[in-house]
Amino acid sequence: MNCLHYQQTLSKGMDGEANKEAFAAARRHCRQCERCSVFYEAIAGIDSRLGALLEPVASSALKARVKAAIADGTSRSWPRFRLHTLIPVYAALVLLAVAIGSFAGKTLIASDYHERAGEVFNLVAPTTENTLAEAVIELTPRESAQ
Amino acid sequence: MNYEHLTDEEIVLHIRAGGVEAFGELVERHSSTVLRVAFMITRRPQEAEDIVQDAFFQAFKSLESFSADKAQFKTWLLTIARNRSINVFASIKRKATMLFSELDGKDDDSAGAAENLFGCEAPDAEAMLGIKQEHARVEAALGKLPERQRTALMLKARENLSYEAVAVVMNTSASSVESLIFRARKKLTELLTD
Repeated sequence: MNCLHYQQTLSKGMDGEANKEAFAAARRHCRQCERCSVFYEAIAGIDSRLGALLEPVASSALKARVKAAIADGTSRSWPRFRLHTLIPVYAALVLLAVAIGSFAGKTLIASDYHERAGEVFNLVAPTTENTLAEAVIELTPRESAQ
Repeated sequence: MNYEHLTDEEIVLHIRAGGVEAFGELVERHSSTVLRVAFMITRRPQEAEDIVQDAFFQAFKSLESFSADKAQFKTWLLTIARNRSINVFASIKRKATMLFSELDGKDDDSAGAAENLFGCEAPDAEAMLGIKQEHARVEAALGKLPERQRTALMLKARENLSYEAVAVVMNTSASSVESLIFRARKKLTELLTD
């Protein structure tokens, strides 16, 4: 038997899960082995420190909430959204809005371009009777023409 | 009707026979245990409370599938709570990697919520400070353990479940539980003696 085996037995014995004789043998080993003795004291100390931790207690409000959820037939706790958890959603919405805005802007420009291109075509097409000078006048920006 | 003299399993039989109101007694008996399990896994007071509600709700809905021959009601309930807690814990971890680091203000809120959860008042500021520091140290060390080690150790040390019951809750074998608890204790020894 090595120290690792004894230490495992000591841990198991502390939980009341080890064979009595094996646990007694491990305790005897501790008298001769400082390393295992220190280990046993340390894990005993840890368990008492864990035991001293404050115990979470279910408040009467929480119990009432649970009972109400069962009576209603709906668990209302899920999903719970908090402001910070929605940051990715906000970001996605902003990106979507920018994308839609950008697309809409391009569409307007494109439609304006096609409209203007149509005008040019009408002006310079051989079937029309307009002169080149008239076409140039027509193609100047509308704002400056005004 | 008073159900205090009945065992959990007897109460379950009563509920199945139509006495739905008896479920309230199970909530009274086990909500703190479920809360502790949820908190030890998620480390978040608010989420732990949500898990309590969700676990009881799920248990109530699937009460027909509970078999007293396979496990005690408490063990079965804790299995549900643990599974739910693990899902929430995974979700918290995902969010933690997605979002920037925790906000200081939020930590303060959590601390306040934790005080409510533990129902503690501050009778003596200096004495409480020492206790709080010690608890914080132990809690921090616990937080550094892998979830399975932490849960196994706490179910044994705090809830006093047998290795077999812990194994059922954690869906593993008793020998794995033994190993998890041993490694958890060893790791805590290292962390707390530094």
